Amino acid sequence: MNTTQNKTQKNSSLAIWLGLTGLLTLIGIAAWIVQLVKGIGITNQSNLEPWGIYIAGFIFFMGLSAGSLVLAALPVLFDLPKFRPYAKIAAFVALIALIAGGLFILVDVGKPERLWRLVRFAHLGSPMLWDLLVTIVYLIISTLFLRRLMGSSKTDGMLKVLAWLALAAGIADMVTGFVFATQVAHAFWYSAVQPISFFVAALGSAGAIILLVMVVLKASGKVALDCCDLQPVVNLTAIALVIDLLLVASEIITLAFTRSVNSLELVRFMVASPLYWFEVATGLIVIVLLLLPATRRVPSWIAFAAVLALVDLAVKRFLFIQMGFAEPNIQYAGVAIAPSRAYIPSLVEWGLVIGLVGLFTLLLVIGFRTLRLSAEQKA
Amino acid sequence: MASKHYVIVIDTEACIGCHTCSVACKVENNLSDGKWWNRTLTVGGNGMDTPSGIFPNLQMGFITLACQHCENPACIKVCPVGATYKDETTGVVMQDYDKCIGCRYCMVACPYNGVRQFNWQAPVYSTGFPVGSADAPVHQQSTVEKCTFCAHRLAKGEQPFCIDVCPSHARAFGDLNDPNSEVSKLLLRRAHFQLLPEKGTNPSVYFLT
Repeated sequence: MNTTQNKTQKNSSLAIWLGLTGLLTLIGIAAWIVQLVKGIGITNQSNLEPWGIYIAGFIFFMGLSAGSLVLAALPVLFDLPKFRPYAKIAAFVALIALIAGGLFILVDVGKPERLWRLVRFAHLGSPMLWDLLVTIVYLIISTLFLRRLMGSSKTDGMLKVLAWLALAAGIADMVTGFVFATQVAHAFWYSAVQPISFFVAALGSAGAIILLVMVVLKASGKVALDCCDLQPVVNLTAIALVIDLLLVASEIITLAFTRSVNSLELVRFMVASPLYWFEVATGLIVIVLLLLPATRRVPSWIAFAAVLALVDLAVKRFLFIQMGFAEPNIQYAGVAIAPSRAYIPSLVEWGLVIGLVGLFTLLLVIGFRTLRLSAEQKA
Repeated sequence: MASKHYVIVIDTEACIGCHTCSVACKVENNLSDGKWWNRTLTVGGNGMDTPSGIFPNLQMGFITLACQHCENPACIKVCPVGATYKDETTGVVMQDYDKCIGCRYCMVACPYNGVRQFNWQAPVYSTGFPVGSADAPVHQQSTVEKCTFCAHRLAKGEQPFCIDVCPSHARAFGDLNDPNSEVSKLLLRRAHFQLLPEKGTNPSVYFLT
């Protein structure tokens, strides 16, 4: 194959990526316009389930961002030259995921035109404001860190400081967990395990996205990888998913053992939900694929496991929101203030979710194309 | 501490489950279609107005559920912009519609599910014209709203409308900080309970048994 042909092929594959993700983004924009015109009532959220898939998407992308920051910081802090190629890519993913996460909040609030009040009338006691402050810190640190990483290939003092800050900001993903874990009204959320569980899921999803990005970039010739270069990230992702499943088991055991009516109803709801078993099953499959010697070194298997891990952790976030509202504290019969059916996202909600996932991928593709994120490898 | 601590005391022995307080609230506050700040709930049965138990050992009871105006309100703690707040002079938990950004965190935080309601659409009225008090709150799309103990009536020295309309005199309203008030005396004399005391919210709505 001569170089011209090679180049044409690469350009056409880029065009396909851009076209596809661009189309998904347009679907999202259309869905948002519909929601702005018709009101947020176009979603299937209700007075009894006031939060839905947007908040699940927010948690997922905040976790992706935080976990990626941790992954970006580690090779700098512990001087692991082999992992330096991940650092820039992970820092870039962190930034883009943060943007996607923030947009999920923008589309969720009823009055986006009033969001400035979060600054003007900030109520510092609200866990939501803690989360907002952490988000702003993420944004600043990941931007500075990425710039510094791209500026020099050596580890200097300033980069080390930024890496420590990035690590701390990544661990602060637990603050998103506090938005829920402080809520006495919801038996499933009101648990000290949730912030830890958020952080573990964050690491797992970040590991998975880095694996996926690296395999895809390798296929496109943007990074040169030896067979075993991905193994540390493979291990980390597998460990995160093992701990995640252990925490799921811990959740169900503690809920079942208290034997309060609400908790038992929650356990019943959980084991009756196909999504719950999907979460457990995909988690197990990912762990096996990432640990089995026959599959853990094969890029195509790694990519498959990574996609499955991302789906698994996204489903986990959706279930987390659903479980929070599964058992109302007061269940006496009266006039209806919400539809009696369970929450399933509406077409517009799906459109916006697809759009934001598309935008996330689009920004990644553009970034990998235009920023010198993998120049180190080529040199 | 609030100089006054307004509470509502509801006699579950006297309540006949007629929904008059619920409908009166809806009219007085000009609530749009689908909004119920105060709901009459049937305790026990599977549906509204159905008894619990097996014939002939049947029982029927009611509670009315509205904002509990808690002393330790979960909603106020979580609001990121301070749109929900406690009126210092009355102890009433209020909602500032002009400040609310519509994030619905207060609805999520409140253990008494459904007492806070969101205007998912622009308010629609089946009557086609506004009803109730001329100084009733103006409802806004995409904001959270709830019972205010009829703050507009309190300001005029009146009681909440649900108290006035109850045909069986099951509801009483007053200042718990005043030992001579009707509500203080009722709570001294009669056995009573609050809803979900284990949540630590300390509601200002009491039920006599």
